[in-house]
Amino acid sequence: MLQPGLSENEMTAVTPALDAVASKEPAPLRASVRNLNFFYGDNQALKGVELPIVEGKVTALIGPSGCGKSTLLRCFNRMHDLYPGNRYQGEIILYPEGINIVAPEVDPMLARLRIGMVFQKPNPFPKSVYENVASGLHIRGIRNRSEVDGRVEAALRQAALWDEVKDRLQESAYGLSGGQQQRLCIARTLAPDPELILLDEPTSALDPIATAKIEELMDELRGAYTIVIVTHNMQQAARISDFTAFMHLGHMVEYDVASLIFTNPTEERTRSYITGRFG
Amino acid sequence: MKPLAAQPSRRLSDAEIVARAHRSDRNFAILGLSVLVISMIVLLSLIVDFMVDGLGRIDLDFLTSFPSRRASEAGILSAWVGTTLVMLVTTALAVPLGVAAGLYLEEYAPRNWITHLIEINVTNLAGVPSIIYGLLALGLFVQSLAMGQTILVAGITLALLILPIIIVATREAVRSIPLEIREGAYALGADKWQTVSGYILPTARPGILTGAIVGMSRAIGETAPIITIGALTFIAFLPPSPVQDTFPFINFNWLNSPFTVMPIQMFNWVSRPQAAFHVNAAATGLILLLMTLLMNAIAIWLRYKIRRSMR
Repeated sequence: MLQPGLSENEMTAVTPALDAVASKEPAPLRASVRNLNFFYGDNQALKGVELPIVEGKVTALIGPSGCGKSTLLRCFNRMHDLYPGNRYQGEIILYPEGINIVAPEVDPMLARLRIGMVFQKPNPFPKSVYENVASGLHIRGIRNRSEVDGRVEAALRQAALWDEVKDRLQESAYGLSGGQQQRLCIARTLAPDPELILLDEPTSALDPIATAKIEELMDELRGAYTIVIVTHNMQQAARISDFTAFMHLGHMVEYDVASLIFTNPTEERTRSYITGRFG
Repeated sequence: MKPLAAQPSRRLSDAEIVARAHRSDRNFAILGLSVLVISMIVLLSLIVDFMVDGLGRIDLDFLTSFPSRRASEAGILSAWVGTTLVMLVTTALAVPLGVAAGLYLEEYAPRNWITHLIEINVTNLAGVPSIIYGLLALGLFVQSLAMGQTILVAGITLALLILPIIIVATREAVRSIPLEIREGAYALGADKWQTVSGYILPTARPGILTGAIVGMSRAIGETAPIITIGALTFIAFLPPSPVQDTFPFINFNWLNSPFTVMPIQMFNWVSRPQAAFHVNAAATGLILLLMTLLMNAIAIWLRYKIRRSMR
């Protein structure tokens, strides 16, 4: 169900549905989108979007092509600021400080230093496996050899890639398979220990086996990390997400516990989409 | 209304379509090959001609002797040393400046009409005749700034000449970097300089290198601007050595030394009436060609190494 009047008390309790999932505990939020409008020039791509992001959970954004799900995801780390003419209106609050990361006075880098992103197409840098994972640490000025070594190994283990690459850390990342490259990108995102991880259709360029590995990986990261994933694959959303948000034409149509969205959606449009009548 | 299908055109059979495709492929391949062969024959005959005339003249004495009034004793020592030193100055100035300017235009400059105007002018500068650069250098460096007809002035002039080539090549190389690399770096929290220096520039290196070599290959053969600034055609001494045995062991006096370069030496000999000097000119031309080829070979090798380290 859509939450039209999210207020200050959402920090403690969002909806009864969320409480149910969080076993009677109030669901702590990692972030919260409030009345967010986004414009590509004159073209409004997001219209008054509301969305809570629950700490330690996987939130999936689904919807037909062009519904604004990737646009919304890219608002979280201010990727739109790389291109001229884009404009945000409204708030994405990042907790616990409660800063609005889309406010014009907040530097985009501030959001990107705290929020990691994995892209649709695996995009390793033309460097070694090791340097790829260490990139985020080097960018943050972390140069201490033993610390970097340790965090690179930890990130690669978390991304379930360590065993496959531990003997070829100094080899080019381009030598890895597509699925390995994507897990490398996940490791690269994990290494700086982000507060929120954005995944933009991370498996759409991968074969089913590589996809299964990534999904498995997300399941293991659940709890330790807060994840927002855009997917066009509804089975995937149903399999891996705790909460699912359905978007259509720039609107947030419905947000709920994943099992409810896929079994008993409130909105007719959601029902049509998940039963395959459009999209 | 009359139906459009009134006169059905005869449909080609599948076999005919395939045959037609093969025919046009073959026709174009033959056309391309003949153009290629013709241009290669012209180039090869030039090289062969140089070799027939000049190869016998090339020996150690030719490389280690100064020019002389007697053709058989003349050598190109001052010319190849001059060319090498001028190219050193040109490269040291044009490559860092050109790469920095290209990066600025592509990554930093605001997208407005001033930037656009600069971009159009840079592209046009690449097509300005080299003698114009010579005139500029003569007026500005040699006369107004009284810098003299030195290696430094020649190096600056040629650097100006090839700067647009390097700027354009840098911009092309930077622009061809996949968006994903750029976004990936920014998404990790990199600032602009970290993104440019750590991810964009290294990825663009092969393209930039190609541009730099194209520029240098042009500079090494330039004669007109060097003659315009007044390089001497007869030099029987070397510039002061850049290394010395007393502290600080290097000196830059050679920058202010008069000089000559290979194309001028060649031009000088070609314009003599005696046939023996023409042989010298051919030999000089052959060595100039070799220097250019060597430069290109080094660039190809470097590019291959960089590409392999990135694969």
